[in-house]
Amino acid sequence: MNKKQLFEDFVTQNIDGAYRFAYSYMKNHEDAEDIVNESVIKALKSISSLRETTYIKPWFYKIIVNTALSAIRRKSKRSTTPYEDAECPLTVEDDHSNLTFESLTQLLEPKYREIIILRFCERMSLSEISDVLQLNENTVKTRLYTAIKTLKINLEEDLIHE
Amino acid sequence: MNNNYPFISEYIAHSASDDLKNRVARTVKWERRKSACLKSCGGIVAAMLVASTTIFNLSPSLAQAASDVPVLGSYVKIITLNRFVSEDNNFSARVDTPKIEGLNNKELEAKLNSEFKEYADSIIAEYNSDVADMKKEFGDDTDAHMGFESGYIVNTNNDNYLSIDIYYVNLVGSSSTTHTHYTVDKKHGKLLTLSDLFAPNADYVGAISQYIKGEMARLNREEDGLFWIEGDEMSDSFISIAKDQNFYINSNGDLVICFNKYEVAAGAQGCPEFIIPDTVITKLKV
Repeated sequence: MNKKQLFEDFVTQNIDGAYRFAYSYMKNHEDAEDIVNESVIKALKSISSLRETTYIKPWFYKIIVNTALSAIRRKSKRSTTPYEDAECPLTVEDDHSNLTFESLTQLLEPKYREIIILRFCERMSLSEISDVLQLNENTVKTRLYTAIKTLKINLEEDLIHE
Repeated sequence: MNNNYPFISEYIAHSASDDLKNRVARTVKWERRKSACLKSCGGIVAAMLVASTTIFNLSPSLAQAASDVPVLGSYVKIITLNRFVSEDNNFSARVDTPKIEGLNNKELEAKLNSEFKEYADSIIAEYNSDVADMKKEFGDDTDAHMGFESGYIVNTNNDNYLSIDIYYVNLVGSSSTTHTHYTVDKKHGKLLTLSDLFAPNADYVGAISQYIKGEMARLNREEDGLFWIEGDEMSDSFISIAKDQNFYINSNGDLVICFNKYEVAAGAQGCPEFIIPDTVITKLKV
């Protein structure tokens, strides 16, 4: 099976994950679908940049992040109000053990939110996350701790460390 | 970790719609086709068509109407050879096949006309097989929809050149608009490739690419352009045009370089075209 076929199978099986990940950036259905489709095209065009096939997921998620962020930049350039609720303060008042997804997005700045999503919802390793977000692993770790502290949720230790 | 945190289960609950699945499947299929074959499939597909049940609308009155449009200073006419229309619940397609008449080079004319027809036949056959596939996969009453349109635009038809654009638009996913341009040098009775316009060793690829890169940067800066250029995060940023890049010659005689959707920019940019100023290429011309 060549890399293209591998990717085609991957995307068919992981379309839900790709969609919800795109949704976490775009926050609306239509944009999220556009991002997924555009990411698939980009992925197929740049399939040669997938060097290690076991890294197909972080590789594709990286494309989704980039596509989503470019789209957000475009949008915020066009509208007068910033597209992202960028100045979202980190509050530490409540107990968030009943944290909903909506409050997660309200509580956390995008740079923390994406790490929480990748770690806890997508179950990626820290090194995979650092690949997706193009950050070094220590930064990922620091942000993860900050986010967890903010959310005041008790996550099992093994998901924080590896 | 317990999945009790509502945010996790809520996140997982988001799933892709059938529409998206269908759209991505078509994107994948389209990309695969693009890289495999289009023209070479034409022959086989044309043979299969005989058995298909679609309505052919060979409309002499329509063809007549099209050919009545006068084109001054030119005896070359482009008519609609036939029009295929299909409407089937959520599936629709419309394919216009052009036919050139009046070129001095009859051999070239026949070759182009058969190429146009083969292309049209191949996409009609693809449409029929896609509809069948989708009904098989999602059932007869599926909400999934699909539609496309293919036709032609005569960009230029003057004493010197005929430029005709065969386009294909996917109306649903909008993921697959393509244009294929044919430019005929009427005086020499020759189908032109981009390199034919330039002197044998001229670096037209470099000159044009550099100009386009500058324009892309300007458009990104000044007009919210969405071009993928170097320094951007994507690995597939625009570096250079192809030696045989899609092009046409407009009615002012200017060279227009064309890209398909997603070739060099985000989808919202459509199919970008760049008019190349004569100053950029004049020294390189034949």
